Amino acid sequence: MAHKGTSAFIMQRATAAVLIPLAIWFLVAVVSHLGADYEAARAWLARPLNAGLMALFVIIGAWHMRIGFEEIIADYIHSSVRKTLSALNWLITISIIAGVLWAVYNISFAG
Amino acid sequence: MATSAQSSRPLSPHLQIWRFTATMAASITHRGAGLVLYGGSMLIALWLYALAFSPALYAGVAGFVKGPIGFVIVAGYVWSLCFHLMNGLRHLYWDSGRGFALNTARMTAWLVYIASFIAAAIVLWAGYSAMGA
Repeated sequence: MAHKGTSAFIMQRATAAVLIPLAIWFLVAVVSHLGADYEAARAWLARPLNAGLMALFVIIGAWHMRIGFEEIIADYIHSSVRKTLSALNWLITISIIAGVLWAVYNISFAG
Repeated sequence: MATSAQSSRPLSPHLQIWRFTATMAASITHRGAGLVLYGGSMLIALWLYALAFSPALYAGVAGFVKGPIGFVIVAGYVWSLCFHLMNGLRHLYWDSGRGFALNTARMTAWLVYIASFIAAAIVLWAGYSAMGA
């Protein structure tokens, strides 16, 4: 994170601000579909607005969470484990973003 | 490799040295909730993956959510999201340079704990009672 403090600080706040309405949407929408069966859940997520908001929530959330976890690493880990954790943090973030985009794309366009 | 230059850098004070106050608890809880949401994001990705590619896995996830362990995980995620969201508003307010007076900070810390429990309870009650219907 060396020399990236300012941009990380700004991105953390910017993503936080965008996540406020997205998180409220997520709480209301997803919790009301908690027990939905497969067909109903797919039909719900296939609607463009829901697909778009879900993708945004997870992607922006993943970016916010990567910054936050990097901060925890910087605060508490000073050993060689630090680089491993940081790499793992990137890997998990990218995996979540790629996986969710792929899944939402498939649900939206697979009919 | 921890060189002497690295190891002599200051480390953040560890969790156990603080006297208990609401503001300190909220700060630690904010990070703890963030970690829960980190794990939750992976589970949401799994849920979406199942919804896209595997009806069998989706059925397993949907069944698990209805069970006691599933409820604890969902409730933990929902409360963590409510808390992190509300305490995040506190942080953004601080970024504007306001809200630092000790009494204000203490009061908003308690407010976030109480409001996040109420919000999470409402969301969970609505979610699980709709599910039973």
